[in-house]
Amino acid sequence: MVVANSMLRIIEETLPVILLFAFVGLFTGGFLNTLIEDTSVASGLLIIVPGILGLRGNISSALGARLSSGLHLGYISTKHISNGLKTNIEISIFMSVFVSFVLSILAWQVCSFVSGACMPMINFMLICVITGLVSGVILSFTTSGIAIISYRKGLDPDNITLPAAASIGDVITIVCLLISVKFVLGLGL
Amino acid sequence: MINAKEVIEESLPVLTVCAAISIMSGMFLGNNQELLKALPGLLIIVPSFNAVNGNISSVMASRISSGLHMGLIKPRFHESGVLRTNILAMTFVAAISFLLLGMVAAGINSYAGIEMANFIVFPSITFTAGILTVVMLMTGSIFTSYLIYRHGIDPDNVVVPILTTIGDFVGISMLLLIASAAI
Repeated sequence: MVVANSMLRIIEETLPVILLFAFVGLFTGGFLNTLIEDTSVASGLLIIVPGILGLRGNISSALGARLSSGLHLGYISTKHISNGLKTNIEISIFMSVFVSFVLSILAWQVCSFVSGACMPMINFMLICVITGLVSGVILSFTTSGIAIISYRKGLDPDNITLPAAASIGDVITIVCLLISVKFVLGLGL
Repeated sequence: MINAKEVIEESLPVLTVCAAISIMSGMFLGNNQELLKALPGLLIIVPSFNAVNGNISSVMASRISSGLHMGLIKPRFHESGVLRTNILAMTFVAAISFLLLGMVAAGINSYAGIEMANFIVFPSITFTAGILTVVMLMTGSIFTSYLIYRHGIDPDNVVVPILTTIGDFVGISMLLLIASAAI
């Protein structure tokens, strides 16, 4: 019975996972704190942070969920790279880049409308698209790896892949964001 | 087999809506840049804070949708023992998580020599802001799960991404609000 179990049982099952990923989040926070030093040169940067973290989380957990279904249904194999796996990874990378692009345009519009002091639109676009592409590639493979390994070990990927993908995703995305900010600002556009 | 076009058509609208909502959270962060610069310890906690809120509200939403599917919870507002157990349990989990998170973050801040490392004030801020956010989000997830279930839509595909995105917004606003009130 999933829902009718006792209060103690619900607490025992959820508290450790939630705490674990809360502490992983502190790493992301540490990187975020170094990002704020760049905001004086890259004004408007903070606007994209929740968006880019959120979209990576959504895309990787959707990928994780599709891979779990695929593994359970058997159209994704744990032994070789199947077409199902390839298509899923491609979709995930495509959506990551596309939504990052949309996000950058929205963010630039809002930023210039609200504060007026923003870095040029091309910087927003490059920072978001590079972050989306690099983190998309890394995370699609990481998520697939976690899903396949947990399935091989007989764990239900649904319970492991989604929270793990979300937390690892945050750390990797924020590092990619930091690097692409440094890179794009270095271009001096 | 997987149909790439179908997956993209289903997810892109939700992802775009989420991106648009998250711009609001970003605006909140951007507008409070001075507060965040003055209190560097606060930014460290933002991702964890959002993760706890997101996890709790999505666990809640999926528990409710399982309960609805199995008939243990009725999509009506009435006194329900199962629902009450879930709400109490998740509130307890949230309370413990936010307190511990506040204390660990305060520890890291003081170790790293970052300001705002008061062991009483810092956990109190995360605790107060966290509990307020979680109560709002749980209420929200119960309402949306009921509504969606009544219309025959599977809550998993739509509710969870939108809920976590709105959760980020509510969480960030609440954290900044409580922090600026506390100082």
